[in-house]
Amino acid sequence: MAFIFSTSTYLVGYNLGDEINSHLQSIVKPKGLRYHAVDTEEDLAKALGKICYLAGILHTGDLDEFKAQSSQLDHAFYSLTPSQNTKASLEGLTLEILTKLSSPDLTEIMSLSASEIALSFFPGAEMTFKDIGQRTPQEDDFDAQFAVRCETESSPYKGRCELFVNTDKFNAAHPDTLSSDIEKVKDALREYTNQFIGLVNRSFEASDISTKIGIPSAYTMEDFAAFPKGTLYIPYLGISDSQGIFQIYMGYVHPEKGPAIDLTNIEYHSGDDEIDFF
Amino acid sequence: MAKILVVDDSETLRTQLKKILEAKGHEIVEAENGVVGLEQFSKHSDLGLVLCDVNMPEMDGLTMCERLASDHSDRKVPTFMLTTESSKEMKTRGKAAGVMAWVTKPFVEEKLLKAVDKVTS
Repeated sequence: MAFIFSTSTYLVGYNLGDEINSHLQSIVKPKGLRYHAVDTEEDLAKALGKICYLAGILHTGDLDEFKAQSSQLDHAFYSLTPSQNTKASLEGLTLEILTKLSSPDLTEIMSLSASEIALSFFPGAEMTFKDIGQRTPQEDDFDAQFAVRCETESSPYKGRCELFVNTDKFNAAHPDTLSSDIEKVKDALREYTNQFIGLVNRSFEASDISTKIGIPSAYTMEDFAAFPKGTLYIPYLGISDSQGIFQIYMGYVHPEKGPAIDLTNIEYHSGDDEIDFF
Repeated sequence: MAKILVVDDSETLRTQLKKILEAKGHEIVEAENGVVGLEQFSKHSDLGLVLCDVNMPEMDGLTMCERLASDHSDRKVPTFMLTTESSKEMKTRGKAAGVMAWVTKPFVEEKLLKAVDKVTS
């Protein structure tokens, strides 16, 4: 059996055959996923035991007995019909799985949070952020000079935020706002990301979901390209401002192969709070 | 006017706080993490307020406040947490460590200054 990375998110194929396995292998890679193919129920059980983050299980044939013994994974099984064995159909199905996992409500909270923080953080730099869809940073050719990465948690989900900034465009649109010192730019972008995630998390906290933020790391794009990517979180959702200065991605995964994060009842919570005196 | 210890790993945030607090006549002492924060607290016996972030390398802000409560129990300096964290668990931990107020970033400048005035004047 192929080596399984405990830090990556997998789409598993059961009994799909070499051609479909090959298609899926090439489809999932740009999506930030890994693909793992198995042909027996025994290997499927072993793989699921080792995989930490699961996007779904695509299968052909009868898996009813196996599914009955894995009822906690009901949400993860997708039966492949004979008409779905073309590469185009498989791409559509993969996107359907990712969309189901992607909690599109998150993009509204992300957009409002990023716009609010930009206004308070870069005075005069009014920006409106919009959804750019379910995609991964790897799929974009966005021209950035700096990147920031930060882990976050919305219990029990583990999440990640990646922010990319075209500082040339930022400086052209908002002169004298950012320092010319690279370390100071990185510090400002770290703090911007920190405050952005904090505001996103405030919407979670208002819905009684406990959150925790990691310490952001900022990089020049040269350093970012060379830095180990670590855990691949999916599904990433992206937002960007209308001037093409920022792109921000977030994604959450369940640490025990549970269902996608449900944000249907979560509303945006503004940062304009009173100070909480104890 | 008071001498205020600002503990935050972001130089951007420290500079922003320094600018708005010094404009009101306060004197600022800076620290980039909890370890340096403890050192500065020991060094400056006349502090009127501590403003402290939570997530920092070396030592986080809540641990620093717990150390202040245990190692400097004779000095009752008001402490505000100034952080993006907003979880109930962390606020409870802060309260137990003697934190007086929880200010969630992004903060509104006027509200922060009003709260600072409340404890330093």
